[in-house]
Formats: sequence, C-alpha cells, structure tokens
Amino acid sequence: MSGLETAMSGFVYDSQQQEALHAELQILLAGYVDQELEEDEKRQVEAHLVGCAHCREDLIRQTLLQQRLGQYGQSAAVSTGLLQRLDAIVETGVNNRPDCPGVTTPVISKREKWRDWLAGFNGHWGVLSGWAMACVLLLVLLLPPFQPASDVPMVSDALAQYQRMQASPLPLSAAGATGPTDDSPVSWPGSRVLASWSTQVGGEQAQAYWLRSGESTLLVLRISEAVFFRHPEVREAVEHRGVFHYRGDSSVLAIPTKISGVLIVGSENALPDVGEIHTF
Amino acid sequence: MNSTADVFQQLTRPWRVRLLAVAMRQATNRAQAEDWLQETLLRGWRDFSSLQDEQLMYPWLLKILGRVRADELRKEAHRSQLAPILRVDDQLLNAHECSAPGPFEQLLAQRNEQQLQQAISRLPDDFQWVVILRDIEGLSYHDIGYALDIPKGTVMSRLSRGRRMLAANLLDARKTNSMRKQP
Repeated sequence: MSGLETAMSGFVYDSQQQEALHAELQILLAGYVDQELEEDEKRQVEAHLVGCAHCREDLIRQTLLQQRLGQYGQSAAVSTGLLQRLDAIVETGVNNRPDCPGVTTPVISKREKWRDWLAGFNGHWGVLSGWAMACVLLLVLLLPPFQPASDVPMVSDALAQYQRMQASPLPLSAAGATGPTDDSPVSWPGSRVLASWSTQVGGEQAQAYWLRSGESTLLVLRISEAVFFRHPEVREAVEHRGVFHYRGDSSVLAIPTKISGVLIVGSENALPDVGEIHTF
Repeated sequence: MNSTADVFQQLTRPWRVRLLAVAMRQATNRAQAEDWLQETLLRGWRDFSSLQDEQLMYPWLLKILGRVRADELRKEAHRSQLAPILRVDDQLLNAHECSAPGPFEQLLAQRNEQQLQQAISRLPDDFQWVVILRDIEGLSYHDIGYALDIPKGTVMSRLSRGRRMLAANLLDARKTNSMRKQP
C-alpha cells in the first residue's frame, strides 16, 4: 500500500510510511500550485503541509518560480525574411535547408476535399451565388425568424456572436482577428486568450476575445459602460448582486469593470465562478 | 495557393512568434531556433491532415517542435560521438531534493532573464520542456500532456521535480557567484 493510500485509509502510519507519503505528495505540489488537483488530493496535500516544513518551503519556491517565469517575455521578433521562408513552405512544399528533403503536400481528408471541390468553382461564383441567394430567401420565408432568447439587447448580441463563433471552424476566421493578446479585460485560473478582434455590441464598438478554459472555449466581450448599463434589468442585478447572470442554452455573465463592462459567454458549466475572476 | 494551404497558414500564423520564442529558449543560437521553426512548420504541413482538433493547434505544433529538436540533438550527439540526450535519474533528484531555504524571493528578483534562461537550460531535457510549456507558455496540464505524449500525472511529477531542480540551480549559481567574489 502506498503512503497516500495508507493515509487515505485512515490508519496511523510509521516513519517509513510517512517518508513514502512525503515523496508522493511532493510530486503533487506542482498540481497544487497550478490548481490542477482533484479535491481529495488537494486535501491530502494541505494536511501534509501542516506538518512538513520541507514541503512548505518547496511550495513557496514553486509558487515564486511560477510567478517569476510567468513574467518572462514571450516575444521573439520574426524577421521578414524568415516569414517569407515560412510562407514559402506551403507554396513549394520544401524547406530551403540543404540537408532537408522536400515533402509532398499533405494527404487530403474528405472534409478538405469537399472544401477544395468548392474552391474549384472559382470563376463560376456568379451562377452559384445566385442559387445560394435564392435558397437563403426561401429559408427566410419558410422558417420563423431567429430570436436570441433574451430581452437585453447586449445579451442577444453576445449570444448571437457566440453562436457564430461556435459554428465557425476557427475563431481566427473572424474578420481582422489576431493571435493571442495579453489585453483581455478578465482572467481566471486556467484561462488563456486564443484570439482577439473588434466587433459591435449594442450598436457600439466592442472588443472580442476567444478564450480557452479547461476543455471549453468562451467568448469574452469588452463593451462600453453606456451599453453595459443601458438596460434596467442589468442595472438592478448589478446593484443587488454585483453581476448580471443570464442562464440559457448558452449563458452570459455580465460584470462591470472600472471603465467598461465585460460579458463572458459560454455554456453554463463552463463559466468561471465570479470569485475567481480577475478584472483589469 | 489552394484552400488547404490557406487554412494551414491561417491556423499556424498566430503561433509562429511564440514557437520561435520557445525554440530560442532551447537552441544554442537564433539561427538554430529559426531552422527548428522552419522544420516544424514543414513537418506540420506534411502531417496537417492528422490534426484532429484545430483548438489543439499550438500544442500540436509544440509536439512537432519537440521532435524536431530531439532529432537535431540526436544528430549532433551522433556527429560528436557524445552521449544521447540527458535523462534525469533519482540520484540527481535526491541531490537537489531539499534545496536550502532562504530569501528565495529576493534571489529571484535579482535574477535577470538571461540568468533565468541559463538556469532553465541546465535542466535535463524532459524537465526543461514541462517548465517552459507550463510556467512560460502557460499551457494546461492537458495540453502539455498532448504536446509531449505523456499522462497528466507525469506532467505534474516532472513539473514538481523540474521546479525543484531549477530552484537548486539558481541557489547553486548564487553560491558560485558569492565564492568568486570572495578574495
């Protein structure tokens, strides 16, 4: 029986078992610092920390290292020449290094073949787009109009944008999208910005961020204060609870910040706890 | 350019700078890091159809970068008849298991990026990767596991040990420096 299993079984363990437990829990310290442990593991580590000075010191060092390395500059300027060489890779399929053989183009999947088949219609788009328009018009006439399920306009806008992003093969396909940025107005443990772009919410300019959080992706919108507080329902909720929370198939968390408002859109169970959210 | 190439370019462009930064932390010079990046994208393009989830683009590219780097190091080791890539053993870990406590925060604050980089580069290969991917690149354990083909538990144990060794490296460097300063 391992030290951890012995401890969890409730037995009193001797010094040898204590040593084994110490070795096992030392491995979990990184997970504790990074909040990647299960609840029972977390409790075990916390119980051990009370009586183990070595692990407490180790924990402090790990936390300090994590914080210091997190401030490490991530930028590396890429020269124009290198960018051109990288672009050329997919055009020529070869690396320009002398010791590297050329490669063939990738094996095309069925999905890609379908996409390429569509690309083959280049030059016939006039006819195709006419048919497409006719089909869209027919659908519009036959189907009831799509109504976002909220009376608050900014929430409807946010939900509609979230649905569009989910339907998109990649958030970066949004017009004008850039790669990861550090200017997200909110963060929480485990959140990471994947892309950012400009958009409109409530008829005014807004900034959108596509975030990864665990296994989920969420849309974050930084909107103007005027748009944020425009609706009485939101004003009332913020006054009483500090946030406005819309629950539906997709949910929206509206949080006021110092100079603007933030909307976090995603499935209800993927939304972060309000207490975990840091606003900037 | 066909549409597959467009998609590949669109997916990889946002990550090029970060990939180069990761490569530069492990390469001996910028030219080598650029070569690794170029080779990474080349292999990525060749194997693009094997990417199942576009959300995992960055860990997927990191996985390829890791292989490119390992291949290059193997070639170099072969050329110079050196030992293969360094692996850590228990003896090494035990030597650094309980690095001396002290004003570690102050020590870290005094280290510049170059000194931190040197301490990281002295870590054994496996540990260096997880420390870079987690603490500098901010990847989740899930994504690191995907990039390195290892389970989450292994990510955690390597990270725990890697950070302990890194702390020991920094403390050792301080001792060495203070000994040099003494007349």
